[in-house]
Amino acid sequence: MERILEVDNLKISFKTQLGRITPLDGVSFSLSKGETLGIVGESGCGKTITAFSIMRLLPKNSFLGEDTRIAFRGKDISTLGKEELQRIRGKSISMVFQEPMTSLNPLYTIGWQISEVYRLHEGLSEEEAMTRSVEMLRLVGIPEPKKRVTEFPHQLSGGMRQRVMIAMALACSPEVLIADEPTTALDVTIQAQVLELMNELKDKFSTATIIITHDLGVIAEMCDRVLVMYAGQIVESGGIFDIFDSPMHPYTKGLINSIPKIEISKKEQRKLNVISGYVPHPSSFPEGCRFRPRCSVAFDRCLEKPPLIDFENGHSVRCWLFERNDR
Amino acid sequence: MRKFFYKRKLDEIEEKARPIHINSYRQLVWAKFKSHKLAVLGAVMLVAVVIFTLIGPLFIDVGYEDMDFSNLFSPPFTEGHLFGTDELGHDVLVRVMYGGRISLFVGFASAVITTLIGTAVGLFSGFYGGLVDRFLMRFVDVMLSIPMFPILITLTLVFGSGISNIILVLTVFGWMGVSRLVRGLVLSIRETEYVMSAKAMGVRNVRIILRHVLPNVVPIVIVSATLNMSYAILAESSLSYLGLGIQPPMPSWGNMLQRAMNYILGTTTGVNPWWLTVFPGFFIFITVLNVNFLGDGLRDALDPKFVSES
Repeated sequence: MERILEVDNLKISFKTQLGRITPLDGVSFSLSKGETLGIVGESGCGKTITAFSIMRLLPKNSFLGEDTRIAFRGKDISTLGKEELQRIRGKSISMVFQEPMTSLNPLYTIGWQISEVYRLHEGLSEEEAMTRSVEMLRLVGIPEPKKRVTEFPHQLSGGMRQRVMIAMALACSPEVLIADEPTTALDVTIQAQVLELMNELKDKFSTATIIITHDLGVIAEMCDRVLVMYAGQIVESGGIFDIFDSPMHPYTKGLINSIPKIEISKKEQRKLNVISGYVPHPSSFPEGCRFRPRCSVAFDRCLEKPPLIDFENGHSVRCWLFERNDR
Repeated sequence: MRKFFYKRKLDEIEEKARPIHINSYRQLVWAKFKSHKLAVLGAVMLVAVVIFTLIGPLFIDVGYEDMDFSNLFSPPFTEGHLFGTDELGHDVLVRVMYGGRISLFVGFASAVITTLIGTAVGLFSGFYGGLVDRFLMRFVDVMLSIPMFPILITLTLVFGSGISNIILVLTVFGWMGVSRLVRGLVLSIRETEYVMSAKAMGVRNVRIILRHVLPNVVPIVIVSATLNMSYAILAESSLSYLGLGIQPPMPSWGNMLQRAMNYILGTTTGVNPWWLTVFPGFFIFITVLNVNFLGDGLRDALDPKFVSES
């Protein structure tokens, strides 16, 4: 399979009042054509920063690591100039944001905002762009698209707005779509509709998709491969079935265990399983394994930094429990 | 029969409920502006004042310098002096007309220029932040800390007085407030998700500033511009007092008021010439009031989310 996006050793630091902090360290992954990659983890573990760093949307006080390479179609985009970057953003790589309520400019009609993408990247005239916008709205399942293009964001519901955002993101049939918690702000039924729509469009445009979420249900629904992130590192990655059927890292196990289950019979199981504690702040990551303070099976070895250990089928895990002695 | 009745009723309801078809932002703004009664009143009144000052003098064969020595301090409605005369026998009506031209021009021009400069500085400073912001905002602080009047007196000595100098001074010392206001707004708008999303769409910074940030500050800038216009009209009068303003015999609403102040407690002959203050004061009042009505209406009309209660 053709690799579209390769992220190699992604490291991001920020200069803050607390000194230099590094919330993302040594994240590597790749994305093939038509594939859907899920990135999952708790709040504050670096998911969104990963997405923003690919789009280069990080604030000015951030620095990329020296040996970081973000290759799009084999070309490093982490060092691109402004002009070239703007040509890629929205055309080849585009993004859907978390908050549909605030992601649209309140002063412009839906149609204007979608057609802006066409005017920018395809140089279409206003009329052509508007026609294409109507088409796009129809594609994302908005009823009466001809009427809707003349409406303002506040006249649409949250689900509709997220559909508009998806329409904007897919307007130029990008090769990579990054969806940062696309359904977090929506209620469950709308969530299901939006996910279904994304699945449908992904196949239609054969877009490689990165879905960032903390909802394992969304991952199960959408993804081919999963990265589990914790405290700025990948702790486990693998195919969707490997992760759900045979999770290895204690953190992944904890995440899967903390999904509420309906069929509970015994009284002692009624309590929701949780992983105790919080994600540490990037200024104070623990030495060695970063999950150690919250891990129920930690042992002496965990004071050293665990490497990412590879298994068959591209399943890999960052935990000393799975250290193989044959090396 | 009943069925028919309901059918008709339904049609009626549908007819009423049919939304106005609005195809563009401009039409929406116009429709909302029209329904804002005070704003329309403000616009009509302002046009009336402008017409009065521009066209009025054409119908009266008296210049603003012409003196009627037989009528000093004569009250309104005497011998063709509708608004009365002042201490030199100038016709107050004619002077209000000519003075209005100057006051309106000074007010409008300095409000527009102040707003343009202030908005540009604020947008730039707020959007780029960092060093640019620090430099510009410290410059604003410096400008604000300079006491205006000593500089004014110096400027008068160097350049002399005149309309263009008044506008120059009012703008040089007037743009800082707008720029701080705009900067504050931009700081919050620049962090919104729609600006982020525009960036992610590959929109250039300049375009983001002009098409995404600027329209969102316009409603507030318009209100501040209307306040600035009122301020400028009043400031012109205090400048006149210092000798930098419009110099007599050329009238402005401001300097008419200033001169009338000498007789506010009555003249030596025992006349109390209230008409000298009331007429220019009244025109300043309705102009400022209607400019503010107009600004309010524009702000509401420009905000698509705002639906008037009526």
